[in-house]
Amino acid sequence: MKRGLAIKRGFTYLALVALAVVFAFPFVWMLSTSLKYDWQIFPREGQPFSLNLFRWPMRWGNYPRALETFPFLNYLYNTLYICLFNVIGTVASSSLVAYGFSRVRWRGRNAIFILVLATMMIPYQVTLLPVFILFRNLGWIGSYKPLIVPAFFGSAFFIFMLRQFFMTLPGELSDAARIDGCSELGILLRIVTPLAKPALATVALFTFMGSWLDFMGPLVYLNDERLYTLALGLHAFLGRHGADWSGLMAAGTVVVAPIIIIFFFTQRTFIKGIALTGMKG
Amino acid sequence: MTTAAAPPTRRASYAARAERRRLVTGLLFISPWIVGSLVFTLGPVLVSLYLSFCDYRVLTPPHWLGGENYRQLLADEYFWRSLGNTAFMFIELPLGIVIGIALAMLLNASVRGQPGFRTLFYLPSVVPVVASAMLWLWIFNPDPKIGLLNGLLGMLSTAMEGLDALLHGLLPVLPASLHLHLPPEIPWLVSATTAKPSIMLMDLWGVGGGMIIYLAALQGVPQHLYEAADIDGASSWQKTWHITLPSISPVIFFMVVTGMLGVFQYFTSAYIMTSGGPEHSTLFYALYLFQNAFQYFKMGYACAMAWILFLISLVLTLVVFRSSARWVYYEEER
Amino acid sequence: MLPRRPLLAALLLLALLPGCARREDPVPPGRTLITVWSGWTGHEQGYFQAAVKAYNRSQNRIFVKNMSTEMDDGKLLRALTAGVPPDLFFLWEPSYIGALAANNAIQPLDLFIRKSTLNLKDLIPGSINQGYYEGHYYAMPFLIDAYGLYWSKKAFREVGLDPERPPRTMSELEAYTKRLLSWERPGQLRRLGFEMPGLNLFMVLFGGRFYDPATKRITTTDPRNVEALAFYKRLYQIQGGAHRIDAFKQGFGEYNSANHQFFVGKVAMMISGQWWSSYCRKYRPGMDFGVAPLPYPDQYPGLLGTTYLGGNFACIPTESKHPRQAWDFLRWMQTYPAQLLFAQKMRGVPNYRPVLSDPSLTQGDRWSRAFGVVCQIANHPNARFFPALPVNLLYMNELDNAAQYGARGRKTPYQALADVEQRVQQELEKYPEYRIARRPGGKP
Repeated sequence: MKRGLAIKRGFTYLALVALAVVFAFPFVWMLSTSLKYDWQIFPREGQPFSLNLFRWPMRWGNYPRALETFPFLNYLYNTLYICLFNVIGTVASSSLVAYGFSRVRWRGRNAIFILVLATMMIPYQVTLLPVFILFRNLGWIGSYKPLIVPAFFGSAFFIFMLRQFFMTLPGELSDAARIDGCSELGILLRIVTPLAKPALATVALFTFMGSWLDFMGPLVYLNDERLYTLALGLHAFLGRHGADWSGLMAAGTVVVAPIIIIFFFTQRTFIKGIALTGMKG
Repeated sequence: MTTAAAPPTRRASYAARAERRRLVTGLLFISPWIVGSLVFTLGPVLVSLYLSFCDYRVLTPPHWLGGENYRQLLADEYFWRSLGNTAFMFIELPLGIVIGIALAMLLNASVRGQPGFRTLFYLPSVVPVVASAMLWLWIFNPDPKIGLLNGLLGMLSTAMEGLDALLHGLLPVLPASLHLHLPPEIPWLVSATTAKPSIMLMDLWGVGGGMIIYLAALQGVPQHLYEAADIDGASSWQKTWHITLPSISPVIFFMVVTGMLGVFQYFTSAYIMTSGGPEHSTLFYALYLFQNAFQYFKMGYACAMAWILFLISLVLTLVVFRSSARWVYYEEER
Repeated sequence: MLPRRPLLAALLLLALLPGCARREDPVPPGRTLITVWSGWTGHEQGYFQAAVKAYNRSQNRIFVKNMSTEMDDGKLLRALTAGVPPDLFFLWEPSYIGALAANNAIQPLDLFIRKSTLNLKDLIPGSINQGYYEGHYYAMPFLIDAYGLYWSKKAFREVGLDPERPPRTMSELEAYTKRLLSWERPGQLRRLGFEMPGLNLFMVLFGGRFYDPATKRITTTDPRNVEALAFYKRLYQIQGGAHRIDAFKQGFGEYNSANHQFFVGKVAMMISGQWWSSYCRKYRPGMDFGVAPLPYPDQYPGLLGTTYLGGNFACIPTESKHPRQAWDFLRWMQTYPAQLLFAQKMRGVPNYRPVLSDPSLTQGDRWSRAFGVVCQIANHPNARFFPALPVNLLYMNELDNAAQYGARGRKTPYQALADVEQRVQQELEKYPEYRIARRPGGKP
């Protein structure tokens, strides 16, 4: 029995490592390109096939050079600002709304929920002009408001997701709390939120990442270079007659590194913090 | 509160009041979404509906056409082409779900280095599109001396030939017609037949995002169920099928619906890498819509396309919703 | 988990310090500020900035602020639609001029031109005329692109051709292509004799017309166009067929690099723009190449000297807040120093004729002389271009399709072009005649 378990473990590890290599490849490639000289990036003529990943000599100078191409610290600050508010707004508002659709029984709940889904069914290309005109009428063009304010009103995607998660939690928890005189908001904050930590952490991560790398939003709504974000800075490497590939990859690595680090170190939140021992008995 | 001897009317009015209280509570909770959608979503969406019945050239005021846009669409061969191309991509949906769940389960098992593995699997979703486009063009490059996939394929193919020759040499009894064979190169993005599968392959790299969601869902499966199943001597497969999957079925439902909507609106890769070619094989619905809206300045036409897509999405979502009663299990509603 | 209080403090700090960033040069007092969206990124942005600085220094009434983010269809369109456009913008795709003009999004510049000291005869006709639509000029060129035939002298020597003697006619082009074509093994190309350009360029070389302004009809099925597509198809066929060529082309290296197919010997002849000589200098200084005017069909010797023109164009939105000042900047861009400065850096063909013979551009090393050859090509009376039409993007997309279908033999040349004509004509007829009732420089 023990040997069977060990073999099974072994296979699991093997599968994990193989898959990890496959999945990590795009990032490794990006990293390797960021350390190359221009003439190393594209394979030379007549050479046989090779993976062309890490080559010597390495051009570490790509990194300081890339970070000087655009005002990195400035853009970093701006991006952090936008992301933080986005995350707070989305998590807070989407949890509230999702709670209303899942843990409170009221008439017409499911019908209105279909409406929420319906808003995801219109391709954004046709609403972007009216939305832009709307923001212009509000006088928000050129500021961060179009990028931050809508986050505080819930996002259909995350509302849907959190609703599903909230619905996996037993109803008896809420019932017991209600009997004890707890308000609905209290139930959300004190009971549901701790249990749904992995889900909320996922929402926070996705929102953060989406906002961090968002290019279209800042491109369209911002006209002042002092307000630009990191994603816009990345695109500065793409010229019309040629791109600075190694610089782009170096900047790209620096830009996505925070996400990777945050993700790696907050893994615990993605795992349940407390064990659900079950509500029976 | 004893209600045993209370008259029916009072009980009924109590129930009615409680129901109204719940209604108010529910509406209060969803009020942010109501306000937000009224302000930011409803207006633009209704405008796009109106525009779908107009000739709107973007820079001049629209004028009413009635159903002309819709009539033209139905006669437009690119409309049907793009619909077909998009429908083809539906194959990716079950693939992505199965792989995502499998990965999540793999990573949920108690193995060492979980945070590391999870991070590695999630990495492709994090690489910015502007960088990955170049990466993929290299991966899919048909020249076996350059492109990653065809390079590997070339090596594998030669190895296969060697193996084949060896087998035939060792076992002369093997019929001459039986051969081990691997194509030495595949045209990937260049040929109309392989372009869409190539894009699907590229998308599957991003399955790490779904994996995260399934991982979070797996945390909510009650441990005691597994323990009880172990006592009953259930196999891994049985545990998965009867405990794990039903417990995370609400989340699977979410992934099915959002995945479906995602397939309908599939756009970015084709826009950046193939521009709808070769021979329109990657002209997806949303790409054709984009071209009409922003390149041909036929915004009214594009809005009509959007609303047809909306209707299709709505119908299919309702179908999935209806079917969910049979396979989705909500703990909350027990 | 993350400690609470420091997190809150950090958030409060962030909330209180927005815009804590670099200050840039303030606008000098007394000047009108105009915003320009030029769309140049990368190191080209620096060159354009230099031009802007030169302008700002040359006078003291106007200050130009250049905003170069990536020029995106969406951004410009949204700004135009919502009525918050910049004072001036550059177009990446001259094909947009017709649509923008037809929809009154950009203003006609005739009045400005008439009142200024600018003499249109000093500009290359094919430059200013690309912005001509329905009787008015809507865009000002700022350096144009012109195309010539480039060939590898080394490849010519290899197959026994005189390296100083490029093909002059289409039949010579075909013969040379066959000679220069080379196979690795059956089914695998080693070198293309000639890399095919876009179909619209080819149609121009045969004297085909895209549009007839007299009858206001799309003329894709013009017999010359059909001839062009038929010859186009033949050049594909003698080099192994469209599928093989496309697969071979996918293996080409990055355009802006030393691995370009021309440099590594995968292509012997190709049609490219004036920038190509600077690319040669930058990526393969040892490359022995030649440049000459494009070949003409034997049966139409009058077409000698034809080339295709593109370019960069600037337009003033109808709702621009400072159109007069914007025009001042546009006018300055047509002066000798401005054109010279930009051409030296950007290697575009100056559209202001006197600059074409400036020695710093066209004399000296062999690359400058090659550049000079293309400049002369651009100035030839036979230089042609795609006329401004509101349906240009559709037209060009459809021509690409026709080229694909035609080259692969899925449709006959006539049929492929007829389908294009029908579709584009249908769209064109939806644009009513526009009577220009607006005065430049403000609302009507």
